[in-house]
Amino acid sequence: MGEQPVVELKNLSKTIGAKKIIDNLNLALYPGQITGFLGPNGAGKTTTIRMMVGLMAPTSGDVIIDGKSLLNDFEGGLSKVGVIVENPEMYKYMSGYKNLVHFGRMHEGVTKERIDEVIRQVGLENRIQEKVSTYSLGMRQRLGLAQALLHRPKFLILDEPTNGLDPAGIREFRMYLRSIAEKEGVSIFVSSHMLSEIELMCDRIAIIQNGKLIDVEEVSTSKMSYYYIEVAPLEAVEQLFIDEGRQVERFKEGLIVNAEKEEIPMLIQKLTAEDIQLFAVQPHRRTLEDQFLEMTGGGQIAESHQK
Amino acid sequence: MLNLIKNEWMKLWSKKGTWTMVILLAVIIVGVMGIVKYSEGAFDETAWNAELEIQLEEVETALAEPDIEADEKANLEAEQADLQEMIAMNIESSKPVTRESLIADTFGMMAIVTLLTIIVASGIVSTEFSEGTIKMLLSRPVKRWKILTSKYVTVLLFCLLATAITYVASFVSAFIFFPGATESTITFSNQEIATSAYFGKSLYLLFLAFINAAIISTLAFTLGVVFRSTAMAIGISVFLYFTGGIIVAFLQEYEIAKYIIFAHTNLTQFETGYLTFPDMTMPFSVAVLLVYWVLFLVISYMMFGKRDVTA
Repeated sequence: MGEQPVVELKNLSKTIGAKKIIDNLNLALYPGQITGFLGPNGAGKTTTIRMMVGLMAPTSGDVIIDGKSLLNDFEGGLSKVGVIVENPEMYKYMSGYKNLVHFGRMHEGVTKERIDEVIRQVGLENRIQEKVSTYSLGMRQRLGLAQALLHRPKFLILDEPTNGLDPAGIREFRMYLRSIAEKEGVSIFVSSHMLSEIELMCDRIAIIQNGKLIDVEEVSTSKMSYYYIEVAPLEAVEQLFIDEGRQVERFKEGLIVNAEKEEIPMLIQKLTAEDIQLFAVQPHRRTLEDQFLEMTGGGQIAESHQK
Repeated sequence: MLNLIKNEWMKLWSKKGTWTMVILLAVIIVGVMGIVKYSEGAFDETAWNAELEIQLEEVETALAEPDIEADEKANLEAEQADLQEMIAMNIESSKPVTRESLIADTFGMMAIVTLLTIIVASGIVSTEFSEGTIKMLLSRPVKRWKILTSKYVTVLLFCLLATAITYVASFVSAFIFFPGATESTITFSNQEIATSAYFGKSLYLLFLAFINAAIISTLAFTLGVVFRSTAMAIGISVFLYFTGGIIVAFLQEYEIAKYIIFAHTNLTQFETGYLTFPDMTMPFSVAVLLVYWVLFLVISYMMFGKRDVTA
């Protein structure tokens, strides 16, 4: 990628007490890209995000946003960032509109027209003058998105953004993020537990575990293709595949094996030639969930630390 | 910075509680004035004196008892003397309440202002934490010290407004309920003051009481930042506000008592003449208050600026 990254995390580390919560994290985020941020509970997602938005100070390392270091130019760095950290907690005793005025005043160049425009974009025109305490969770999410977009950020950080949205809302939200990423070249960083969401929304995925970045990969280009093959006897075929040096996973009535599409006719011929009963061969799409669990070694919560 | 203060001011007045407090303040002041008016009518001089004379008679009958012990007799005789003196003094000093004397006493109402400002100061930072809005507030391109400053300025503005409301409400109700002074001078803590100078005097006393309210509120503000709990900040500040004088009195024997903030918060003592320590001076008190004030603010800024937001 020849482009200049919008955001760079440089050797970011956070130590609380004796515990290294974030360990030497390096990551670059590019314009127009949606990057997913995945990790088991307690892996350090929230800590990383809080260091990126100035809520926590890194123990060492730095965050560079749009060429400005948060350490040296905090206000400059954050001026191009839109944030929704977890549930957007707005001032409940004020109207949605006053909330937007409030946050608008904290950025430069947010006009009344811009506020009205954003309200229209997130579809809150009818309820914006009502108190936030009367809003549903979905409406609060929309208001949260509105406040993050007010100042036309170049970089949007979203922590669990679709939490509380209905399926139609999630879909709309996804389309909206896609469109601002593509049209306005905004770089988006989304942390979520909903793996299927991330898969649908993101171009890239960064996976963190125990405070270390363990993998960054593109979503669309799956490295290997897999097939589910139902055969009998299973053991013989399993042995055959293992001898060929393939990855095999055995199930009750069949196997999942990695193979390229071009190899399949050859494989079928080979199996029939060996007098093996062949019932079915179908492509097996490994979901992000499978990859994620494989990479992070199951669902156990990372070693605990004080939140 | 102006925008930040506007934000804090908007948030403050979007809360129903703030309006309730300010309306309550005006109602209490007008109410107290009304009670003064009412009781002035009910207890006229003669009734007051008659009551004292009844008490005096009771003491005298007790003295007349034949089998009275020596020390009890001494006590009763002292009481008798007191009562006699009170009756004599009361006839001498009971001048009618005038609007000027009431306006000059307005600073006495500042306890309510102090309490209300403590409530505002305690909550202005800590509710951002308890409501979770602190995350939204601090993930902005605005340095933390600026946000804290806007909050502190808002507390002071509220204190100023409440003081102004107190003065205006006293002024208006004093004019409604009471006649102006007929004599050209009025006694105030044994000083004779021309009635025309009364308004200036009342404003000066109010200013001194405002300093008191502002210092206690700064303490509440600091506690709110440190503990991030509104209840705790209000509790500790109000407790200290009311017991501070007792603590100082308790430690009066020791040199250290002179450096306790509560020996100095009440600057009106230099005007009313009831000094905590006889050798106190205004510049010394102001210096002590200044040291505490800086200390509170340094703690607030350090805590607020450094702390990681994990809520």
